[in-house]
Amino acid sequence: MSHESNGYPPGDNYLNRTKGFLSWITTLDHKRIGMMYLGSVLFFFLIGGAFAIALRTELLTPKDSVQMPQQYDAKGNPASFPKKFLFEKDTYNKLFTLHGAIMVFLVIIPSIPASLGNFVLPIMLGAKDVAFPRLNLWSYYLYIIGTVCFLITLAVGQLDTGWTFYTPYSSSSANSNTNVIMATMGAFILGFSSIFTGINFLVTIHTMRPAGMTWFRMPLLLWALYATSVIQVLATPVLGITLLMLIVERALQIGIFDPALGGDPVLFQHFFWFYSHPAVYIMIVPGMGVASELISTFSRKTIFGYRQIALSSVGLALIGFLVWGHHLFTSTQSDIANMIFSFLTFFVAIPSAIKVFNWLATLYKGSISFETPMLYGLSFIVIFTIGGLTGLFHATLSTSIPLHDTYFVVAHFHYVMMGSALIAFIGGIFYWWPKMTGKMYNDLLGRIAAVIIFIGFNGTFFPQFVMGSKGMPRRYYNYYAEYQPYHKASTYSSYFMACGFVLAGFTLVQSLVRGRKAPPNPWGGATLEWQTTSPPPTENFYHTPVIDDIPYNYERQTYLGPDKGWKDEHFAHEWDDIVAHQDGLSSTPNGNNNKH
Amino acid sequence: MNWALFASDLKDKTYWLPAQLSKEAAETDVHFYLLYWLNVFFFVGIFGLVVYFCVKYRRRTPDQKPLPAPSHNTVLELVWSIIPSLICIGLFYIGFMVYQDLMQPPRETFKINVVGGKWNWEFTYPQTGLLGTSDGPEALPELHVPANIPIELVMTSKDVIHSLYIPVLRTKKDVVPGRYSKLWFNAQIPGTYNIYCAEYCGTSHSEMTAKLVVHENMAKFLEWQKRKEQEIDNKKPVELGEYVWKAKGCRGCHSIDGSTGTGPTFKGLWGMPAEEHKTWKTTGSLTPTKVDENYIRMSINEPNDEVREGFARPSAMPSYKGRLSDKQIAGVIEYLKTLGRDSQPPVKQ
Repeated sequence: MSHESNGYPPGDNYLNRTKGFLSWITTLDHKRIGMMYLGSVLFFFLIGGAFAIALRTELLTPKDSVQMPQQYDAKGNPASFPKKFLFEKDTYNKLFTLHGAIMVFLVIIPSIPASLGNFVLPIMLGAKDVAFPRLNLWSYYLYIIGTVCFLITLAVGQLDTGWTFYTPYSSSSANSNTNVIMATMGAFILGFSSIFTGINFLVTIHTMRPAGMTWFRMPLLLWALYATSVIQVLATPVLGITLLMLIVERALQIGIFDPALGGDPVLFQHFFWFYSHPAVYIMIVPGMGVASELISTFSRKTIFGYRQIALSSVGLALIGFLVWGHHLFTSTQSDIANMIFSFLTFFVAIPSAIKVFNWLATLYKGSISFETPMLYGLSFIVIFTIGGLTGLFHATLSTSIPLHDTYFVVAHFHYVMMGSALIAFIGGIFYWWPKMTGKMYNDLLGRIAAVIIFIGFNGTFFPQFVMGSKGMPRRYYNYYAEYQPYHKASTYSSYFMACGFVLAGFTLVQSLVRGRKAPPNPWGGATLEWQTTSPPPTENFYHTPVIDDIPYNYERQTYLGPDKGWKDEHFAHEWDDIVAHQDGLSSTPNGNNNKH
Repeated sequence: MNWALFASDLKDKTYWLPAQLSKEAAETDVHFYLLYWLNVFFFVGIFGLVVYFCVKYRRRTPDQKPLPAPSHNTVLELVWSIIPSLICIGLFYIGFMVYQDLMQPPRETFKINVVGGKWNWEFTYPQTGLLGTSDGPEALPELHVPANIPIELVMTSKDVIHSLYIPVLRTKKDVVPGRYSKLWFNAQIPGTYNIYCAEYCGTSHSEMTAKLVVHENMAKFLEWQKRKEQEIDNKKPVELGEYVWKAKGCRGCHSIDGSTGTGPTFKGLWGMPAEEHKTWKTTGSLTPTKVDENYIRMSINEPNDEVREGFARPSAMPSYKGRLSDKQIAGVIEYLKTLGRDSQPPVKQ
């Protein structure tokens, strides 16, 4: 059987099968949709990041005293207030709102599931595509429509509620000068995008596993994405309903949340966090999945406690639904409710701790190498450990009360959402980049960037723990001068971290221009996506994969050198086919095989 | 918890935490440091192992195989599931016990009413009779309390959700419109401390600060209150007006230097010719309106009846009907006159 008879020419892949803008925006290929998501997510990461840098720059300067008495000059005329560094209060409030909303709704939530997940989930599973390719494209369109709503909000510059849209501030026009309806509409539409992706992944994992791919032979990223999808499908509708009620209240003046109209403002917080706390697990669980892949691959060792990690992902997804009330400890929620939510909150710590211990045990006696993706994997363990442990302060009622709404919380959730979820995302990009683009990047540059990001990140957010425990409230434009040293440390470190991101971006762009060709399996990964060409063909595989083992068996692999990467004995009969297609050859000496 | 153990530490600041002002704050700090050392222990352990494994088991040749090691160990996995669970249950228990102390006031408390509004705090003292003071001479609102007496704040908001946060007492509670939330504490060391608004409430959220002034005892507190009452009563009308502008939250929106805030500036407002000063009537028409005594009084009591052109409709200003006395309104009018056209600015001594 010649390669041509497989139905596609040698050297063919998902990137070059068809060409042109139209072929991309009408594509049903999960890989192309994943790449479009990736591009969009990175674009918004740039915008959200730029806002963050602007905020931190503003915070370099305090006012001597937060609220200043009127000053008079020598002639007795009232003097104007001294200007702060960059911009005025309202601008600051709008910037932190958009920073939060963009990073949460447009970047972190779709980051790993919709971009990397879309790309690798079907390949890791051994399938040709997701179960509903059209729905997949439609969810991307919805994502774009949602982002347009946010961009309009951005252009009009009228959203200052914080990304949490707390009522009655957000629901009453007398209270805030905001474009709440447009922004919540955006979040509402993005929610549907998220739900559709979740449904697609659930059905794909349930129905499209090839022969031999049992539940406990699935790579851990798939378990993580499965758990994430469950949360997306179950929790996101609540956000949709809540935002719809907000729009109805604002547009029709029906009292739901606004006490002036007879509503209950705290009710909104319950609805909002019923989605938004599980959403934290939408953000972090896929990151844990990516970390599991990275740590196993670069230790060349079967992941320790596979079942425990897999089930702890599902455990997190379920317990994550029961703890939203810990966002309301000071909200006038009853003491009994506070007690129950505090108790339940502690139990999200257990699956998280279990995963960290398992990763450690995976490193033990491994053969650990330090390519760029692994540095992100190790950063993930360290930063997530801090992020997770500091969560204990917020679950314990006595310490949660003073630390609530201070920079301590800001630091905690940045350690989890940025230092963990986003670091895993960046690590995943570097891990699958050769697979996605067929190009190798400069590993040295990549590693330098990873180290800069790690140091910069800790320098930015660790001082925020200190000022938070000293009482610095969050979302403050002005502050007392005693907090300034911590703000300065945080701001300067954030510049350093930004340099790391720029360097990382440069490394990737440079690889597209000057990178050498990637072998099928440059890292020695044992999961299925490494058993096809880089980049893969539109149908993902040349032969339907047959799975007969756990996903992390590295013993069958041999190293062929830096240019050729790793070869897996299990797929030896397909290897020549893969290499032939990869190199664009029409035939190879051993190219014919009729085993399938 | 033996309170005496911490009494000598009351004034000390630690690296992580501000001063402690109450027994409950001290207990909270014990938990903070318990968690802190637990964090340090686990972090150092995990980070140390990561570094140790990375050095010891680093790949030296490209095809180096891992050393033989099990991929699963039920006993180990049970141990590291059960021990953290037990720690967590313990933490929950102690945290909840102190939380109860923090939230449950003693039977007898000295009650103070708190009204939060954008962007000011108003503290009134129904049990001793002082009404509506919300500032000190230097304009920050001040909450005055006697030391060593349990204080209970009965709080509500006139617009959006705020949150009263006193770092030295390690306590905070949201201030919600349409209901009363309560917060109690027993401050033990006289002095002046910071109060913050911890729940984001709009433009000047970060300026919604106040001072907690703890007097040595009830007698000193009553002395202060007496001084305060006389001080307010004896003000000249212009000074009373300026006091109201500072104390009642007017200045959050109305500047006196000509800059436009959420509301019109007071500078040059008085005596502004009607043709320059158009307002929206409730009938929906835009009409030139003369700024005189009646207009000012109406704007204070019913801000929505006439909204100046170029400002949010409905007006962002809450009604002050019944919250300013006639004497205070007259004072505001006198104060506005000094800021009006052709008037000299107030001369400060």
